[in-house]
Amino acid sequence: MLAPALELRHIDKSYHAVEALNDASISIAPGSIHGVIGENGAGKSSLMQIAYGLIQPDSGEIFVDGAKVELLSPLQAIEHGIGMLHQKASWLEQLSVFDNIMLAEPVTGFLFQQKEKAMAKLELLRREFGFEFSLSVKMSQLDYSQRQLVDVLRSLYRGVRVLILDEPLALLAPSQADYLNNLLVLLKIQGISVVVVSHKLAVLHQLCDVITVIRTGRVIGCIDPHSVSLREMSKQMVGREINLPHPRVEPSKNKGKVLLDIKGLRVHGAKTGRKSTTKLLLRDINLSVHAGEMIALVGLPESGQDVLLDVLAGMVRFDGGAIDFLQYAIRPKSRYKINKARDYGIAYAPNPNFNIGLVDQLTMAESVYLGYQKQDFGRWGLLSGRQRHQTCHQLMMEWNVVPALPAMQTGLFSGGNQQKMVLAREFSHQPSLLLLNQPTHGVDVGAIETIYQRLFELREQGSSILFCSTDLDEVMSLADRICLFSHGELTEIFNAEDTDRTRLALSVIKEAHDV
Amino acid sequence: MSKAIPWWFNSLLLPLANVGLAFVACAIVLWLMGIDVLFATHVMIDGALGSGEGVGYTLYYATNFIFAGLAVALAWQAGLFNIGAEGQALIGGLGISIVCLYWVPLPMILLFPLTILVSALFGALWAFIPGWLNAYRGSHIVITTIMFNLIASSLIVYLLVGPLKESGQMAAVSTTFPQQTWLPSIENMASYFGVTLQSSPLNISFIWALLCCLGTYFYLWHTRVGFETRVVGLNLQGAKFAGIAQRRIIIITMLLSGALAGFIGLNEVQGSSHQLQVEFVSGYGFTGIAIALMGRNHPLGILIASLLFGALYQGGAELAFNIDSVGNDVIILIQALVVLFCGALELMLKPSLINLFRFNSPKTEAGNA
Amino acid sequence: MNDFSWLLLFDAAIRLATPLLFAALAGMLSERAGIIDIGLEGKMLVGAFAAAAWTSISGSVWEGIMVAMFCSVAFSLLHGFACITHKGDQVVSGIAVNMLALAVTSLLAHRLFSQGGMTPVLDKLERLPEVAFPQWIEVDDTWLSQLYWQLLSGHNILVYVGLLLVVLLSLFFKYSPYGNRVFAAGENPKALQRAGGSLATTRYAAIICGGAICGLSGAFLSVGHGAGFVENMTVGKGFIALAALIFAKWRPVAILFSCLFFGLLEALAIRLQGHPLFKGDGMLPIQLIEVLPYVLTVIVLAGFIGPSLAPKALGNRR
Repeated sequence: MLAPALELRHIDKSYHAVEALNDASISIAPGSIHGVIGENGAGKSSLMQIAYGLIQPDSGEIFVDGAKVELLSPLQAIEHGIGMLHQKASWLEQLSVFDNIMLAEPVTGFLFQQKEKAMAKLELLRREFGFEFSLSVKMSQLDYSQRQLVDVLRSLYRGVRVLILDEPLALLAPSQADYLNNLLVLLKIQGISVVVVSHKLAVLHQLCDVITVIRTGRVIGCIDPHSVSLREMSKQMVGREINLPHPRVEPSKNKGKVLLDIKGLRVHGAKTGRKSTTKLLLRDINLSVHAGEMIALVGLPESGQDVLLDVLAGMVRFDGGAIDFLQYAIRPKSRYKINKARDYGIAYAPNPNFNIGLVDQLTMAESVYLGYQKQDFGRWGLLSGRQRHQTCHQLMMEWNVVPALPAMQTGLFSGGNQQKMVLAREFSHQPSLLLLNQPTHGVDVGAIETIYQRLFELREQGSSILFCSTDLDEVMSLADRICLFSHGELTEIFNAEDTDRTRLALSVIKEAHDV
Repeated sequence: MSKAIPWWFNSLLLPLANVGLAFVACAIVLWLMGIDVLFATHVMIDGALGSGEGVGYTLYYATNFIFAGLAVALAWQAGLFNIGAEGQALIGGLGISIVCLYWVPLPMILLFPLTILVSALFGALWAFIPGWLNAYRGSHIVITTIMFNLIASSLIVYLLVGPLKESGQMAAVSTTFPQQTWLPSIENMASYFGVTLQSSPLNISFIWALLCCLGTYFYLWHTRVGFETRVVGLNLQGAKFAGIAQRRIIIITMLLSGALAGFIGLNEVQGSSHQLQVEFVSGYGFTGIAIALMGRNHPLGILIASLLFGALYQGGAELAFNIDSVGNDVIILIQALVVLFCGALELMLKPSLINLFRFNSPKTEAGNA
Repeated sequence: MNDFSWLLLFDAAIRLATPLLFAALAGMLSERAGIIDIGLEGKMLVGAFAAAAWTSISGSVWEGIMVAMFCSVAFSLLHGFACITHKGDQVVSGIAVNMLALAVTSLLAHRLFSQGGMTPVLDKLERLPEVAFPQWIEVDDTWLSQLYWQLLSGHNILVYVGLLLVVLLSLFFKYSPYGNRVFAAGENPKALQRAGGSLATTRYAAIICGGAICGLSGAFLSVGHGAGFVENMTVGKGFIALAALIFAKWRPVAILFSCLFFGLLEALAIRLQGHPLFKGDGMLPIQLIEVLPYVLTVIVLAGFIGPSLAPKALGNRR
């Protein structure tokens, strides 16, 4: 049997003590179409970026055609015949297709001589693979799927042997299905292996010869899609035993009055330069939240759940609909900002990954004032250091923050302790509504325990909690109701008692299928 | 990194190593030019600290540097790079000159606060436009402040060869101010208390500079606006999360930074030369950058760096008599190397120092350092 | 003013615009690659000193020019070392370059020549030659002849090199694959890296070329138009070049015109000194013309004349 075209063995990679890949191995057979699936943050993209030399693994080996190689930069990967289509690709829109393809090509021979040769070769490839764009047209005139094909063409030009497609959404759209099929067949004939990373299980199930499943940084196994059903494959990906890290605490039965009422909420995306069409980030959201209720917002990334939190927190403006919170009527024109939100009693703990809830370079005693500087600083905007120190120390004791040193720089605390401090700050202002984005991302198990406990306590006091989480275990342990988001719409609301983790996970992924 | 980096690494060891490197580099450059470094150092130290007069001059120069350093550092705390201290100081000096030339007979106890106010106002005005353009039009503050430096110097030249020119004088200087408007020198103040000091241009504005250090510290670390300023400088997204009005902070900070730069005129114009001269700022605004970098944008650090640079300036002036007029250039050289090593190459030594510390136990390190 | 002095005015404008042109083109190369170049002023000064010093020692102005370019590149490399290799702040590094250049040139001038910070005055043979055009048009009083002989012919050789450079650089950015790469480094470094290009190599190459061109700018001041080096002889020309660069929105041909315009303003300010309009009390200040470049730059930066089309990744440290 032929040596695999590309093989990654025992790859480990962690970012600041957060493990992304653990002993992950993958082997791509020559001329095969190889799918890679896994939940959000399972480590698919990291693995592919390692294969393209964009990031380097902490340990592990890479083999191309059976020979061990080192990939320190994309250039080295390209030289070994590896090409990649990026999830969030960007191009030089002002330049022509040809110039984009030749951007980093080594210059050989005279200007025009090389250009003619390259042009002829590209033209040939373009016809062979049936790309419909002209080489001399400006990049900005192509639509997104065509731009991705430009990257494919560049890889072909360089004699790619393994082509990695990282979430090529535009290419996987149903309208492109036939086209993509043809393309993959053509690539296969040429002996080029294709690796497709995607959430769209149905498409992969149809296209691929073999599919590798990754779960939390580990390779779970390989699936032959011809003998395994789509449903079973999905289960492989998500359906582990439900493993609640913490016992669920059921809410006391008396449902409070409606605290927050969202009607027909609409948010436009930023206007994109040339075309004045705007994407709707959120469309027609209706949701009532009762006092003493904990609600989870789930969905694939960028489905709108984060935007809803940002709107409620006053970080993002909304363009239509109405929000009624307690006695306050918030409308698109009511200049609703985050300071207002805090005055109303809405607290917000942003995604710890974005690093905006605290400021790393400030001392913790200062960081815990972030957002509440108006309320907490004295009448003349002054505050004594001692008072600041004491308040912070008290919060640290309450939340078991270690070390309990208010004068220590915020950035020196571990992620879990930082998140505890963010929550400590938000809790200490007795919010009626608490908004959380990924409340336990990068937080160690011990800290999670404390956080969950405090959340249940807060709910018991009659406050409502809205949170986004990609961790479905967490959603199942915390939420009373679960809102499913897809493409900016709230498509379904589950009661926690009536659903289980597998069903929920499948519903989340299913949203990806019917694009 | 197996061991966490201790606090003193980033705030003490690294800056000191960088300053050390700057001085070593300076010594090497001078040695390459065939200048006897040891002799030069001796001359400079002696000139700066060897006599009462030298110390007076050292403190007099340090006054300028404190103002300039604070101006640059305050803006930096908000993430703004104010290269415009030069121009703001010029305009501040202009304000003082207008007050002193069209002097309203006021006692010094009222006049000094008035000139403080006016120089602050004029300096702030000159910083306001770049600040506003940055906040509301997104203009690059470095380029706009450079342009405003050049515009300010043209304006002063115009005024000094035109409206403010002293009649019958060739040099482009204004009329000398009436003696009642001169700031009291430390020498005179000391003799009032029965202490005799050697004569130097050191004047009361040095005390005002010390107060400004204190005030800046208090403002940045103990007031709400100061807190918001630092958050804007450290983490823009965090500032947005905290509901801080970024534009407001930019403008307030630039106004204060301009005001601090404007105070240079107090020392130079009202305190020492008693007339407006075209080049009275002579690069202090740029020295301010070196001082702010060396002092880590902290008022205490700036005070120390200013005293050091004050001594260097005075020592450099002394050096000019001894070694073929190289004094001033040596200062600029040190300044340049400090900006290079403490600013642009700030993190160059970090990886190797971290490595050094991982292999050696802290105890032997302390011995070596 | 009669026609004659108009011609002289434009003649002076071309002469004054040339150092600006070189420096602005150098700045364009660097800034197109995403590196802010505040250090133009310093590199000009280094170029000016190196050219004059080497010429007066060796006697060969051509060697002097090579040395000027070499020294200016050395300062560029220092800038690159700080802000490409060590990812330091580009503005801080640029300021350090300016200060260092001022100090080193002045110190060396004092040490080497002991003439109060000046290099020895160079005689005509030791300076760059002027280029006389062929006798295609007779010398007479017709405007065509005047134009040819007064305005076009007889400039310093570097003037024509500068014009050539404008053409070459605009061709470079339009057609050369390297030009695209430099453009990508300033506009979208990520796309460049993902395509397999090296950001550091591209940026280093751009600032090295920029350094060489900037050295020519300084050489023009000391061995082209001038006859020797004087302490701090650039007096802010580097910043005016920066202004011209921004005013021209980082485009080579536009840079030519903005430099000519700024040169013309400078020539006007010199010519109009003593003109009745600017003399006496209550008349227009001559400084009004001097500050025009700066004011215009601020206006352009404020986005009042169309969008300021700076490279998108300008100043990005990665």
